[in-house]
Amino acid sequence: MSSAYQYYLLTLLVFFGVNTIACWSLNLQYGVGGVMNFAFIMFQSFGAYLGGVLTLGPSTGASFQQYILGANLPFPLPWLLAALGGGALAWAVGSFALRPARRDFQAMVMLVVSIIASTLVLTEASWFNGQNGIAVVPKPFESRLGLGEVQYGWFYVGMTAIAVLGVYWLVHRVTSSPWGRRLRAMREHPQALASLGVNVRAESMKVYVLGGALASLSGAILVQFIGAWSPGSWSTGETFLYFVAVIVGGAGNNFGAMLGAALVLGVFEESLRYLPSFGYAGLAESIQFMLLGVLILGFLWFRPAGLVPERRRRLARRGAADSGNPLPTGAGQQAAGS
Amino acid sequence: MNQFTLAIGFGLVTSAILALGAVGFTLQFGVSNIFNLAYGDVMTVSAFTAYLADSSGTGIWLAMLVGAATGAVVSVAMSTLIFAPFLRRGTSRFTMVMVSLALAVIVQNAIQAVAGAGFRSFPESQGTSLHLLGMILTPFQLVIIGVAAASMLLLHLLLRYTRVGKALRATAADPELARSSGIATERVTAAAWAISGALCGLGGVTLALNLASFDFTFGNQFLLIVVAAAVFGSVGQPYGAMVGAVVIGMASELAAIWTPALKQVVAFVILALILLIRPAGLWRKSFVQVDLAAR
Repeated sequence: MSSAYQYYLLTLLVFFGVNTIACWSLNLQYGVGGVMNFAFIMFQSFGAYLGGVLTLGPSTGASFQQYILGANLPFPLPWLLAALGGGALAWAVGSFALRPARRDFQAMVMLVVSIIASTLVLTEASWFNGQNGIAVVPKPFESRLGLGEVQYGWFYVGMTAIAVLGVYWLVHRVTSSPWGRRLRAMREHPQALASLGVNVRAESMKVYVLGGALASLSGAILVQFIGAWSPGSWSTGETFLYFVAVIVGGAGNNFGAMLGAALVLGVFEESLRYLPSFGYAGLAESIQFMLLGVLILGFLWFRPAGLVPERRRRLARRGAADSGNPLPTGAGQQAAGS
Repeated sequence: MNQFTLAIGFGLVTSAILALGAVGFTLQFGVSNIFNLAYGDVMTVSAFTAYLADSSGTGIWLAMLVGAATGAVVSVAMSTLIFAPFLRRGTSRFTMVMVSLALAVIVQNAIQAVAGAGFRSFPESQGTSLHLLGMILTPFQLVIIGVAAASMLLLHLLLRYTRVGKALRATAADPELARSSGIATERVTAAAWAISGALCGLGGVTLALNLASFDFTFGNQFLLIVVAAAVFGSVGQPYGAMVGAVVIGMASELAAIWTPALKQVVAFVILALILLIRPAGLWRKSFVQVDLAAR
C-alpha cells in the first residue's frame, strides 16, 4: 500500500476512534440519561483547545498566536487535563442549564450557551486566538520516537485504540451498573424517579459531567493528531451530526453509537469526497445537510430505536438480592442509601 | 447626540422585532408543546419570499403581507405534515426537538440550495433618517415598531375577547379538558400555528428590513435571542414573551454602547440569571405544570 493510502487509512481510523468516543459520550448523556446536550460540540472543542495549548507551552504573546492556559506538559497529562476541564465546563454549564425541569427546555438553554460560546471565542481574540485558532501543536512522543510520518501515524492509531478501549470499559461499566439503570429510569420517566426520592437534577448533572469529560477527551485526541484547532470547524451545526450518528446507530446502545460513528461520521461524510463537484460552491454541502435531515426524520419515523436498538435488560434475577431488584425499588433504595 | 438615547431608539426597534418573533414562538409552544427549532428558518423563508415580492414591484406593504402569509402557510404545513403525524405516533416531546432540528436543517439548506448563499438587502432598509427625541431612526424602523405594536394589540384583543382566543387559551392550558368541553382542538391548534406563523413571518421580514443585508442563515441566528426572550418570559406565555422581548432587546442594545460585539452575550447572561433565580422563567406558571397539563 502506498504511503498516501496508508496515511488516508490511518487518518480515518483515528477519526473513527475519536468519533466513537464522542458518540459514546453523547450516548451516555442522550441515549442513556436522556439529557439532550445541544452544546455537545462545545465540549469537544474545549477539550481540543485544552489538549492543544497544554502541549504548546505558554503563550509568548509575540508569536502569531495568542492564547490563555498555555503549558508544556508531558503526554498523558494534556489528555487527562482536557477531560478534567471538560468535566468542569459541564459542571459550570449544567449548574444553570439543567435547572429547568423539561429536557427540551434544557436543550434550548444549552443551544444558546453553545452559540454564545462560539461568538465569544471568535470576538475575544486574546483568549483563544480568535478565528485563527491554534496551530503547530506538537504530537506526543513524535520528536523522541523519530519515526516517519506514516509510522508515527500508526503509532497514534495505537494510542487512540487504547483510549477507545479504556473509554469503552468505562461506559460499559456505567451502562451496566445500578447507576446506569437509574439513568435509564430517569430517561424514561424523570417524574416517577423523582417521586422515588432520587434527585433527578443531581443525576443529570453527574452524567452531564461525565459525558462532558469524555467529549473533551475525544477533542484532545483529535487535536494532537491533526495539530491544529480553529473555532470555525467546531461550529454548532456539528452537534447535529453527532446526534444523527447516535440516533441512526441506536441511542442507548454502545455498539449502536459506535456503528453510527462509523456510518454517519465515517462512510456518509467520506463518500461525499468522491462525488464529482457540481453546481455552485456550497450547493453540494447544503444537499448533504438536507439529506442528513431527511435521514434523521426517516429514522425517527421508521426505526426510532436505530440500527442496533437498545438491549432489553432483564431486571429481576433470582437469588441476587442486592443487584437484581426490579428497577423502581432498586433505584429508590440506592437513592435513599447514597 | 446622546449615546444613551440613541441606544434606546435601537433598543425599541430590536424589541419590536423580537416581540413579533418571541410571541409567535411562545404561542406555538403553548398550544403544541413543541420547541420548534425550525422557527428561525421559517423567518428566513418568509423574508426571502417578501424580498421576492418586493423586488417584483409589489411595494413593501404587500411584501410584508406576503411574508406573513408565507410564515403562516409554512408553519401550518410543518405542523400538519410533520409534527402532527409524529405526535400521533407517540413520539415523545423530547424526540420532537430532534424532529424540529432536522426540519430546521432541511429548510435552511433548501433555502441555500434554491437561493444561493449570497447576501441580499431590501432597498427600503436604507433611507433618510429621522431625528426624534435624541433617537435616530429610519422611517422603516418606525414602521417596524408600529407593525409590532399593532400586532401585539391585535393578538391581545384576539386572545382576550374572541371565541377563537378563548378556545386557544383553553387548549394551551389543558387540551384534554378543552376537547371534552367541545372545543375542536385540532382546528384551534391549526389556527394557533397559522397565527404564530404569521407573526414569525412578520418577524422575519421586519428583521430583514432592519438588517443592512441578510442571507440564508439570518433567521436561524436570530432564533437564539428569540428563544432567550421567550424563555425569559416563561415559554408558552405570550405576555411573558412581550416582557422578555423588551427586556432583552433593550438590554442588548444598551450594552452595545460599551461592547458592540457582545450583544448576544448580554441576552445570554440575562437568561442565565433568570434561570438561576426562577428556573421556570419570569411568568408564574412552572414548566412542570405545563408538562403535566399536556399529558
